[in-house]
Amino acid sequence: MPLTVLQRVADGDVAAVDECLGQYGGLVWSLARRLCPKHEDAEDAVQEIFVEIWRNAGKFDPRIASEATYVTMIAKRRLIDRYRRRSRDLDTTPLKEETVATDAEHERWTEISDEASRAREQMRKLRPEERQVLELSINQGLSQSQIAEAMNLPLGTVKTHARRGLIRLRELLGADAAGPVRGGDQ
Amino acid sequence: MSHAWKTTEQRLLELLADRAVFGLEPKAAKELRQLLREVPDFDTECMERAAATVQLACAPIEPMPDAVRDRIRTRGRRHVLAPPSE
Repeated sequence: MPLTVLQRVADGDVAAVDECLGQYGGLVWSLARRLCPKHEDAEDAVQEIFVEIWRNAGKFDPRIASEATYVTMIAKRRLIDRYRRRSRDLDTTPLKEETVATDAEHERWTEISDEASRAREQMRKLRPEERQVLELSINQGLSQSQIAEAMNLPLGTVKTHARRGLIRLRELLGADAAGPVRGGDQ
Repeated sequence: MSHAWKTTEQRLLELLADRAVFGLEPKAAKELRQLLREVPDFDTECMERAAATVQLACAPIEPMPDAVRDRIRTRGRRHVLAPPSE
């Protein structure tokens, strides 16, 4: 089985760096732009994320997750850390009625379109309120209380929707139903 | 609130979901650490992967600016050629 881009980065293949940037640069940049309103913040964040990706390339296991999911997971960790550090100084992000991207918006995302399509398909199977809570928290970085206010829901209900939605999503994605696969950071 | 009626796995999934979405308060983080000691092989990243899927589903893609790409490429090549010691 041929090595993935991340496995080649871990093996010291310099050409894989370019391929990795070509494959995931747009994804990481877009995620950063979503949570970093200023261009320079997004640039710093993206550099930080890719250093983390190079550093953890050897820990990627294709049996557990796709490369796109792994890259997104690392990006999310970094971006949420940065966002929460600054969140006290930020205004509440405007609430959008529907934030699942349309297929047209994804036309340029050819490298990982299959993965994204599958993810969107699974997201659509969630209950609307679960999907909306997850989108507002994970994609727009809103806190539990901000979502409660925006959706006019009790705090506990927001947490319940988030939990149920994510647990359901994990099931839909065919993650290991029994859970105990491996511990520690991938 | 008591969680005694739930299985350890159910409670772990809830706490990991909370962590992936909103982060954990110290009390919940302590509970998570305690439960993970009971189930040390539990897949602690399962909810982070699910959360990453939400991002994959929702992120409209724009190309990375060339200048940013060039800077990161240079740094990446340096890293691959001479990875910093951990």
